[in-house]
Amino acid sequence: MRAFFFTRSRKIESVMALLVIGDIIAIFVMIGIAVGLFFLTPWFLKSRVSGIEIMSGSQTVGRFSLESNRILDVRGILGNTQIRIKDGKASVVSSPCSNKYCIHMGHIGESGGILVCVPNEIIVYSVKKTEDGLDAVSR
Amino acid sequence: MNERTLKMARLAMMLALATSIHALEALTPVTLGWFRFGFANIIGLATLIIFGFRDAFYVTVGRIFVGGLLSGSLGTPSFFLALSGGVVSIVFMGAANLIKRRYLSEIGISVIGAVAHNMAQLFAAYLLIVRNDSILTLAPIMILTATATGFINGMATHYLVLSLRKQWRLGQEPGHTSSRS
Repeated sequence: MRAFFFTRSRKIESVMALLVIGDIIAIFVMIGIAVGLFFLTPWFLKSRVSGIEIMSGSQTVGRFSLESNRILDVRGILGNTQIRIKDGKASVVSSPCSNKYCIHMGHIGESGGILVCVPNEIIVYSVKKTEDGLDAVSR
Repeated sequence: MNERTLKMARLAMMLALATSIHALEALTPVTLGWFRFGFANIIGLATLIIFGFRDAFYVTVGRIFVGGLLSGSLGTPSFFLALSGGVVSIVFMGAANLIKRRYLSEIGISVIGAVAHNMAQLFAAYLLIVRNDSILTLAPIMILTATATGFINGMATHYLVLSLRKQWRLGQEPGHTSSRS
């Protein structure tokens, strides 16, 4: 296998021979950490998103849990933006703005995120669990 | 020429080399945004192996400052990212360099340095710019790419150190593995 790859240059053939025990350990430890983090990070991020907070202009409209399905009407400067919470995901379903970017932004799920409607000045973002164990307030 | 002057000239050459590589690398267009090979680190690591930790630290930090001046990023967030990454990686590589070369070669040191560099940068980016936990999802990808680039840089360092030692008539390091060719 090695002879197949490095038939042309004898200089490069010794590259694999450069590796000593510590290098191999270091490389495998790094790959192990990467794989471990790959599976650990989503779980870590997921476990901390508890709900969404909605802002209209500079005012906080409120904090909502992602657990109950509902449709929220939030008043912005152009009109009402409808935000739907369904199956643990929040998304904008209708908006008075012209470009509808906020609708195309998708949803906020367990991994968190942010939805913004600039013309109507509505911001929806995920909130994390707080220290005191209260995760969200339902209204 | 006496020994001190000779060493100073050699270190100055290393610094100049590292700076030019750093500045050139800042100019190369990158498709992946944060992805860089970090070739400037080859010089830092070679300095570490030939001259020891203190000189390597000076070369790395000097390289980042002068490189920042050259590319005009001195004082910007990207400069602080480079600084944090450079300092942390040279400290880690200096620690790894204490292990006998028979057990950990340039490649291993380079991999450790590259991963330390990337993690420090990620942490600095978290503190300075992003402030969002989602940036953590980048960590595994960054560690993997750092391992790959560290491997390549380590090989390059090995050959650079070999040729520099020959050029400067420093003699081979005891316990060096690859004099067969």
